[in-house]
Amino acid sequence: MKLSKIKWLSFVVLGSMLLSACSTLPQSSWPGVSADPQNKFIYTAYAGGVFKVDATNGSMSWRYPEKVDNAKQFYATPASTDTLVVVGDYANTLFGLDPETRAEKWTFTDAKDKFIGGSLIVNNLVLAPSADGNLYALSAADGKLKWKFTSNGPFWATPVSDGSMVYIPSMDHNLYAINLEDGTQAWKADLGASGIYGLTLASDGNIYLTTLGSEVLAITSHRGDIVWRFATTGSPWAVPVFKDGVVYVGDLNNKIYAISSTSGKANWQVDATGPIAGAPAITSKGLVFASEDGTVFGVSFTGQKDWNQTINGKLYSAPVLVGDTVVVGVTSGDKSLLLVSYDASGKQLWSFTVPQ
Amino acid sequence: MDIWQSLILQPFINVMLFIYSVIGNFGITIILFTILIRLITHPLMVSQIKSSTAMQELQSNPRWKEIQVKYKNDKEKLAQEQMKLQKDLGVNPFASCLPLLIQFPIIIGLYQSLQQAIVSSPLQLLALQRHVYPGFLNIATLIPIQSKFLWMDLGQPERLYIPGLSFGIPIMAIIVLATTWLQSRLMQPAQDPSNSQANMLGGMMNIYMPLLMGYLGLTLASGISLYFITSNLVGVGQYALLGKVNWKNVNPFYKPVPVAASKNAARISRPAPESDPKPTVTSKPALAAPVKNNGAVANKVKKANITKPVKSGSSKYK
Repeated sequence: MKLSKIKWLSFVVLGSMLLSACSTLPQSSWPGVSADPQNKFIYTAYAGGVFKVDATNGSMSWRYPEKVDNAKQFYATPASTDTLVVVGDYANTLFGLDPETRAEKWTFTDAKDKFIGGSLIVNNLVLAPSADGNLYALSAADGKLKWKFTSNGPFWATPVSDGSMVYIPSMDHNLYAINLEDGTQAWKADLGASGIYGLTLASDGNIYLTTLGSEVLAITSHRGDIVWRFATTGSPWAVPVFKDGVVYVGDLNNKIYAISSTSGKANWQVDATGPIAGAPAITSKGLVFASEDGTVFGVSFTGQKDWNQTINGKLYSAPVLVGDTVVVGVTSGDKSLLLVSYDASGKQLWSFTVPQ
Repeated sequence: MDIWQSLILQPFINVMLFIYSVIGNFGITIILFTILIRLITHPLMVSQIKSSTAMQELQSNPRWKEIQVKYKNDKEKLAQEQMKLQKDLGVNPFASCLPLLIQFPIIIGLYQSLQQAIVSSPLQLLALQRHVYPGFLNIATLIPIQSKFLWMDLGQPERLYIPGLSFGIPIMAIIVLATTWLQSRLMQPAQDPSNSQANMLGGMMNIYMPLLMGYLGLTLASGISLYFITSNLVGVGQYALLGKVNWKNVNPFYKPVPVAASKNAARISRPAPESDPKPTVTSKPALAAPVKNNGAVANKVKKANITKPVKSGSSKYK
């Protein structure tokens, strides 16, 4: 009788484990990587932790939380000033941390869904987009809610701001311009498809962004008029980057495009070795892309491939320029590899693995 | 892309998203898709029920019980005799496993496709984009999938907040628990109180499975809970259509009567033949007589043995 009970209990426990294993994917997203304002440190959020890493040698300054807490899963790109690091987790909490000590300065727990997109800190406001469809504006000092803006779809993108207006695309197919002061809507533009992964506010006054409708769009920042649409062959998840009148973007169909910001026509396009989900980093020599198949490669501003390196892991994150070096975040990296740093000519400088 | 994804996951996801593109409500999509899959697998379920019924009836066959007693100290001989009897009566012990084995990946596929369609993170959306057949569906118009259904967000664990209460009530988890219990009780075959081990196992199943499913309903996205509930109710409906539901199992006042006792009682109360004035209790039912006839008669006996003998006893519980 007892043995049968034990058998049944074992069956239930095993069944729970099996179904729980079925219920979650190994990873939900890729590492969010950003540099601190002084370009001395890297902040990266990935799975069970947020890490502060020295940009010169890849040594870890701290991790948050100190011990892995499975309830806290971080993927949103951390935002930082000299006195605050802001990062949201997948359990709907936004954390304001001390950059020196990693101590929690405040937490914000009013969101009803995950923080997927990174926050933006501007004018002492923390602008935190949530998958619950709200853009929360909090005081950077104490994390208190100043205002919130609600859209009809989740926010997955990181917002950008010119100091008076904040721009953010929503999965409800609209791009919103919101007054930074009070959170009221200035205008919205119908994108025709969901805006997933961010946008660029360029020096020419235009906003450049990609949508799930396989398009790159140029939109005026003052009124929300669509200047041009550029169709890509695959879905472009990457944020377009702008330099000297050219918009550069990669797509999931292994293509890289250089698009004229004035005409909206392609100057050139080249093939990558794999799908590209992250924006390129712009260095003095050209662009650095990372593709899903683990290849990091340099492309000149005229479309010539300069160098390439291979990493044992998947690359979805946008390479980040920190001073003269480029740092790449690795998803499901071999032996917990999380960050790899290269110089502008493709020479590997250091790598960072998550300490066990 | 592996075989599992190509043959199961991808078609399931595309059909589900197609239903969503027509209906525009993901909650109703989940309900319709679950019903559709259960209907497609219905013939397998019928086959499985028939086979398992035959196995159950075989185990209450007097010849089966007889050889169990006779060869209880000789496992090898017992196995040989059991196989021989199964062969004689035309019962294949694996016939009930095969339909179940075929249904299993379909159910897992249904569960996984639901999980993948309720996208809530970038890697999930990236995967979903790759699962959609190009030219069949336009992912750009489908995303974002409206995950609100009634008071729930299908991508999140569900709680119903009532004014005045500081906590949310997990209504879906409670319904998952209740329907799982209901389903396992209703589908449980008639119990023989003399078989305490089988009853104990059945009783544990009735307790632990609902608790496990209730726990999953509490922690997983409410879309999955909606699938569990629909699946449970459709399962009960399928069993009811096949006449296999034991409604008395959910009657708290019902007390089962031992099969042997009820059989004997039935036989004792049967009108005796005029030539024999005394009531007769047969130690060996006529149906258990050795099958040594020609093919036609043997077939009749086989059929009778499998479908009839329990009737007088089991009818007590139906």
